[in-house]
Amino acid sequence: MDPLLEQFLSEGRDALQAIGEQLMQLETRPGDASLVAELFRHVHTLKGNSGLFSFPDMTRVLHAGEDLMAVVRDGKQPFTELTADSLLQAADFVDLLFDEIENHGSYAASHAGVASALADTLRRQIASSDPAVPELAPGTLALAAEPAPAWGLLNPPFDLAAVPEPQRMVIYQHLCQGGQVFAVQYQPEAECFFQGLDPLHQAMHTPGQLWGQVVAREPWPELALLDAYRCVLGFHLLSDASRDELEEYYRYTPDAITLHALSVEDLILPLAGPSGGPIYEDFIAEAWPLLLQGDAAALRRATDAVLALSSPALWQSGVLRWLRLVMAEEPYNYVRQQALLQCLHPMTLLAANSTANPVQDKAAVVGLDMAEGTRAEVLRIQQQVLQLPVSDDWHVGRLRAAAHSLRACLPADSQTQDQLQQALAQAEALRSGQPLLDYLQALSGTVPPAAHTPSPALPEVALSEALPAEPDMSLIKRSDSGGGLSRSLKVDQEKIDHLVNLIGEMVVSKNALPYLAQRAESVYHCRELARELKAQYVVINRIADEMQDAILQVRMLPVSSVFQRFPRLVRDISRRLGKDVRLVLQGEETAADKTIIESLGDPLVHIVRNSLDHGFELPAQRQAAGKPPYGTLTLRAVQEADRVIIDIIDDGAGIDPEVVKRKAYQRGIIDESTLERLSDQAAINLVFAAGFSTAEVVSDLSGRGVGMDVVRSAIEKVNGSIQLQSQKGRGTQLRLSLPLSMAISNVMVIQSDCQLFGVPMDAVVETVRVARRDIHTIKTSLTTVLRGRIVPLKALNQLLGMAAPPLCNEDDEFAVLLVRFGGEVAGLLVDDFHATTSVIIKPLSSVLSGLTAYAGSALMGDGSVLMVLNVKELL
Amino acid sequence: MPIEFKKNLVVCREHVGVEEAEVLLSWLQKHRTAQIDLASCCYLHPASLQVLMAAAPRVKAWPEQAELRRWLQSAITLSQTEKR
Amino acid sequence: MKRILIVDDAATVRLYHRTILTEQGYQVDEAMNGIEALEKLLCGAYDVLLVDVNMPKLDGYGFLREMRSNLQIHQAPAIMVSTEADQEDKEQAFAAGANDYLVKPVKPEQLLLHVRLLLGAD
Repeated sequence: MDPLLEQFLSEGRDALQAIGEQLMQLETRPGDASLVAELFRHVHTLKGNSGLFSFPDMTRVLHAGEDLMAVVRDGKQPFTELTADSLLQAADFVDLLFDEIENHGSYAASHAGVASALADTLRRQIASSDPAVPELAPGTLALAAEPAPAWGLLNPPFDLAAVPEPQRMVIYQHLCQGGQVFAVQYQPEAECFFQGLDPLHQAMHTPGQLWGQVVAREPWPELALLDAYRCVLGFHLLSDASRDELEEYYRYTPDAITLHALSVEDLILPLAGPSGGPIYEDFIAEAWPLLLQGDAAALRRATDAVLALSSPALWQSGVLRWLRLVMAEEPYNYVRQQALLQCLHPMTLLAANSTANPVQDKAAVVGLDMAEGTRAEVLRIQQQVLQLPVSDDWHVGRLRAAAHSLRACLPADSQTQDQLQQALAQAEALRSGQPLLDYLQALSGTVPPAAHTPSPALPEVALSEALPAEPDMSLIKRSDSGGGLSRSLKVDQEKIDHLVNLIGEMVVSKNALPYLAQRAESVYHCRELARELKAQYVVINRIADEMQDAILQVRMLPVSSVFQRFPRLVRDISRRLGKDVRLVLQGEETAADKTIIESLGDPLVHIVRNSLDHGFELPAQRQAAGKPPYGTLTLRAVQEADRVIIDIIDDGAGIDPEVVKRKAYQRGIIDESTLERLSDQAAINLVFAAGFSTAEVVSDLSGRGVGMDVVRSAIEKVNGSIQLQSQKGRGTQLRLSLPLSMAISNVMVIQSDCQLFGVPMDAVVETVRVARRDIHTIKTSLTTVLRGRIVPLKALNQLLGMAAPPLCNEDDEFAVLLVRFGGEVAGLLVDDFHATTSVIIKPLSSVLSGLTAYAGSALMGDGSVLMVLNVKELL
Repeated sequence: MPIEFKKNLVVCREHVGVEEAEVLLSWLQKHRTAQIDLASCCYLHPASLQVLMAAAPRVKAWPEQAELRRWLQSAITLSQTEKR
Repeated sequence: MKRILIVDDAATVRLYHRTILTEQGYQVDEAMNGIEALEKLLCGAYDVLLVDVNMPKLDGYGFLREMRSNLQIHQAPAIMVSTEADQEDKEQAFAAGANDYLVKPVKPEQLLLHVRLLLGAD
């Protein structure tokens, strides 16, 4: 994807997020001016950015949103719920367009209708409250809503030189008066005749058609090779119908259509005919000062006079006709007038006539005359700046800047520049622009326009730097720029994952050093070397640890990236349910690994929906129960050691254990005997059982057949756990506990039947030695009593299908590893315990991936492979 | 009949449809110097228009109907100039 | 080498302008708001500045006034790049200390034309 587009999307998503959040905040603090200003700025920036691309529908909606925010900001309209609703709708629409652009590079033309409806909704709100706005002519608004010629389509889709000059002039006048004209390029499919289409008929009846032409899209072959039924025609049209009308008219062939809103620059193309004699140089000499002095009447007379002398077919006559028209329509557009005048300069003619390619001619002409026009414009601005009030504190700085600007624009010869320097010195001393103005005055008497005695600076600009024919597209593709000091860097996730893998291998390899040291001592008896190796190991170990931390930090995201969707969600759902719920977010800055954060999203949404749906009561019920009418939902994140704890707390109705028990019994999840002896807490935990749903009726919000069991398994998939506490009538608290990072796990190494295995530390409760006599056999299963609790025991060998019996130590004690799975605790009989170690668990690949008893494998420091057990599956 | 072939002249009348394109093409292939009379033609299917643009025959008379004349003139004249 | 400072809070606009300018061999630096721009100006001189209007912390007008008030800073020509095309907006920009004015979105050739002009001959 084009890096600029990528940047646009990423910045845009952030802006939409911020807009959504701020709208939410504004609902609680409607008078907060700084919040309104910030919101306005986000909408404004987004609109501005969209203008760089050809996304007119997006720009239209954003522009309407910006205007609405502007009246709110200026205090002309209060911020209401309606304002928030319509802006949120607009933000959702733009988000949708972002999705399509991200996937397809553009969005479907069919969105145009929704876009105008949204823009209308937004604008109606401005109109309804602000009497100042309706005074704007409707045309002005429409024009303002239409972006300037956009990125990627800066030029019309076809050469407008084909349109006769008189017609172009009429359209130009139409544009100057605030009208809008589209250039339409229609390229029907080659097979269109077989689909019963008649593109000629369609083109000829295009709404608002002002001009049209049929062209061949490829050179004609020999007649013998021509396929009459393969359409190679293209249609070029100009139309003053609206974009909506045109898109509606061509709705069945949206891909065959390119629309371009004409700008004035597209139309002024004085390119026709041979060029005339030297009288035009005299004319420039006469006209230039008139233009600088702003003597329009005299300039018009001079132009008319020279036109009367010229043959209308001459190239220059075309230019002069345009000049006359521009003076009439845009009397204050000096840049354009000067540019046209500059066109008559012999050097320009040379450029225009010497090459065969008309497109290049145009570029050369434009490059040259625009440079000259711009120069005059900038000079005029500096004159204006120099006349500004001297009382401003920053006046001297302003004078200097104007002088620097003049220096750049004026000829670089030493005399001119020295005089300028002197004038600046005087101006600074006097704190007045007058000396510089005087200097300019004197200069304009002596320095004729560049057309006559080209200054050393200008021809260089004009000739050597004349722009290539299509500078716009090529410019953006290569962006290997240096020198920028951006604070953050966007990196492909794959690259970071690669780094994580590398550091993992490094950690493991470094663990080989202690083995080496040991071997140096025991095998080669080099105690000295062993000591040095150990010392070196300590250093490498420290660096590797820091490096690992640093790399894992890169993958960390704050939980705010998940939390941020909830204000909107809670608002929308509670409103639909007629409930009043306030959301409190805490600890949003708490960070965890990207994978963990991302895996949190769906479960959290489900939990929150559940709570809104079933947990909170209606305001009346709450009041009847003596609670405040509004409920409070708290999402809180904290870091505890190497875990992230997320609490979801509501002060709703809570869970009634009796109801849960009854339901579980009805669904056959528990039997009658269990029903009776089940504790309240155990009953509440039944909501996690597969197939359990506490809702009497499956609601459209949290129902959808997804139960809390799905939430639990999603959390457990990332080695997380979930705990539920609830008090009837008081509320419910869910606690999610998740690892900070996926990449590095702590495992306890155990030995069984002469093999080593790893057990994730999350699952380990404790290690104990149990004497043989304390192990009892109940029915066929082994148990023991630990601290007053009956704990079931399983032999690891047996679970893994190994025949060897568990070994005991010389005191006739078995090694028992107490592990946690689900909510229960069990003991694993193993042969021996080893140390705990940090490893990177890699999932088993291909054939082995079916072995669910293992969570994966890990490479040990000595190069051996450790199989890590999946305790839950095993038991 | 919307198309009538004379010795070295083809006369198009009223509505020249999509079927005529093939007939027109094969006739124009054999009569490279033929002229065309479009005076009483009031519509031309784009398939036939393509044939005329590719063959670029000399036009004896343009359509009387102004809008069609404008479209055909620019299209056929453009392809004639490109041919030369 | 000519140094240009882009002052704009929109990263997309900064990238757009930067790409156009670096392509032509100019050295480009960026600031996200007026405060950051002032910090950069105090560390080194630039030849031309492109200044956005609406920015957080310190907007374009405020930035220009601050910059023009501090004579320790090299008073480089500044182009105000705005979404508004009204005469009133332009005058406000010039009064604050801008030396040129462009309306967004700026066409690449237009941007280069104005930047080249204000950079002057080498």
